[in-house]
Amino acid sequence: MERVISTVGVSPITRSRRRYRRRERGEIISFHLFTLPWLLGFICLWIAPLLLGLATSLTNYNGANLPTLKFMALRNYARAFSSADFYFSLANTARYTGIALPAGLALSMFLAIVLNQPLKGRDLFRLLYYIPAILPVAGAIRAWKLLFGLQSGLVNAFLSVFMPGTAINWIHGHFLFVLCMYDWWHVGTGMVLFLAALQGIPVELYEAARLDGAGRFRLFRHITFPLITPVLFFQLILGLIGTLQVLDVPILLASRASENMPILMTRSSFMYMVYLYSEVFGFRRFGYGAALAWIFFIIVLVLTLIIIGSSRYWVYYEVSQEGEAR
Amino acid sequence: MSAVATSITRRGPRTWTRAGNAMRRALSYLLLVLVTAIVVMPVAWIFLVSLRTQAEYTSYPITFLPSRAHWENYWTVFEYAFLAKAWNTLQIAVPSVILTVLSSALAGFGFARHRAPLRNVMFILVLSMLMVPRMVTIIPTFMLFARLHLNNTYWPWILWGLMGSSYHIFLFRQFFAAIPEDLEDAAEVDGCGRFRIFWQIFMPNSTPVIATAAIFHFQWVWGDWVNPQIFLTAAKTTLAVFLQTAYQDPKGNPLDTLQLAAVAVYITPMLIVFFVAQKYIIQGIVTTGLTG
Repeated sequence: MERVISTVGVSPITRSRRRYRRRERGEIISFHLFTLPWLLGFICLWIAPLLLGLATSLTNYNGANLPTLKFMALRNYARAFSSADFYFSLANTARYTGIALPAGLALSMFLAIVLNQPLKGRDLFRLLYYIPAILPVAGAIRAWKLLFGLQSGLVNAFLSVFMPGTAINWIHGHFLFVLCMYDWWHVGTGMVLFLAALQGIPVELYEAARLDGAGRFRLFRHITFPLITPVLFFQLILGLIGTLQVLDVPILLASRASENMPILMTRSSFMYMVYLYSEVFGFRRFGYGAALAWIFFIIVLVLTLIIIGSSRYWVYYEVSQEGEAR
Repeated sequence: MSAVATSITRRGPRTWTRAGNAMRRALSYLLLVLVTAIVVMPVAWIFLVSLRTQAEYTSYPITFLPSRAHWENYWTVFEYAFLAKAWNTLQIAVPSVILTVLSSALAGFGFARHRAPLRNVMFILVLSMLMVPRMVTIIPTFMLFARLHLNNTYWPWILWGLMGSSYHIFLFRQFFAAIPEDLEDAAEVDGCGRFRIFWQIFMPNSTPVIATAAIFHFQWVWGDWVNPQIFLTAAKTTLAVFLQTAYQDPKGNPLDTLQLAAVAVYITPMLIVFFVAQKYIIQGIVTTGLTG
């Protein structure tokens, strides 16, 4: 017995353990090798700029004054909070997001529900609705200018059929509406996601509930909606940051884009990111712009955390909740 | 007992809903067709107006179809620097797509197929990058690249490509995580190294994801206006920036119909790619839950 252990005993166990450990260590090393390109980029092109931006926001850097750089402490931040442009652009952005985001989500959810019926040509509709999402912004915006043009715009021409002589200056007078329409034009993206979620709901759930006498509204309220809340949650978070940092669309839509700085033609296109962009790349106020960026970052972070925090009250996570499914 | 009860309760609503169903179907189709018209029309309108002369475009009231299709607009488009800017765009897009897909696949494989102490933390970092407004990093990146003399070169896109992208790392991770473990074990028994497993087993089996990631990223670079506007000057810029201002007569008046013809040429490759690869694209969106 003892001999067996002495010749074989030490080795099989420890050898396998050692091999296991070697494998484990190899796995860790190989994990870090595979993720190394990302990690290097993350450190050099993400963390470093993030910190550099934070440092810049405490200075009066303008792109060329490195030798005479002055430490400004929090004066850039104070300046933002006493700037009328800051409040205007922030409120403008909040108004736009407040209208565009919830309505866009509701619209895409509604379309997904309509398309979730056994209809012929469903895939074709889904495909067509997704077209706006694949169009490059720089091209799609041109279509938008065309539709909402004053004289040669299709929307005015269409309205003129009912009200002859309609010549609404959409871009100047109703910019937010035009911007929202542009956003809603992209409902196909969200719709594809909602549709996928809807198709993942087991039919038996509906059948069972229908046997129990549930009506259409109750089916939606107690089965459909809870089961797509994870997708809604996800889209709410990504949509929020996407909508809040809208930049190229208002610039391209409302400006004569000159080679250096786009000149805005209407005040309501003055979104927060447009303000930031013009401060940094128009007036070369890097310090102030970095401060604006960090204020924005913190606002977005707080809003995101609020949504995440609230999610446990309204997002349905698949645990065994048999009582609730009914 | 319950069977009887259900058969009774069933009969009523069924006959009642049949008419309702037909009605609802008709309404649904009406709605879907209407939405299709609204969604597709702006795109169709670009093509329709691009065939007009500038005079016809500015005349009032507008007509739906051009009096005569001026196909020559599509020739005139290329008398401007369109092809040069298209070449610039490709010079940025092709290396960027290759590097981004490759680097994202590597990281995705790392996250999906290894256990390591920091893995989950790092993956949360990957995803949290999506939560940071891009201007927060673009401004300092611009300053940094200015010091390194990388602005107005295509190096920024190479560097960003080497880093991969959160979307695609996520996409690849989801896909690789679903591949059965036996495949990997068998290869390991045969003495395959980790990289060979990745390169000779996982990558060849992932063409749909590779296609999806490549298409999405190409589409992103092709359409991106912000980065070329910030990092490149007029000579080196891409189509997205060029198209905004290029089509003017010598007096600086916009030549809208020419510009629209150029926009039509600009968006057509994306439309073609989309219709050819739609299966991959839709699948890509659905599996990640992320879009573009």
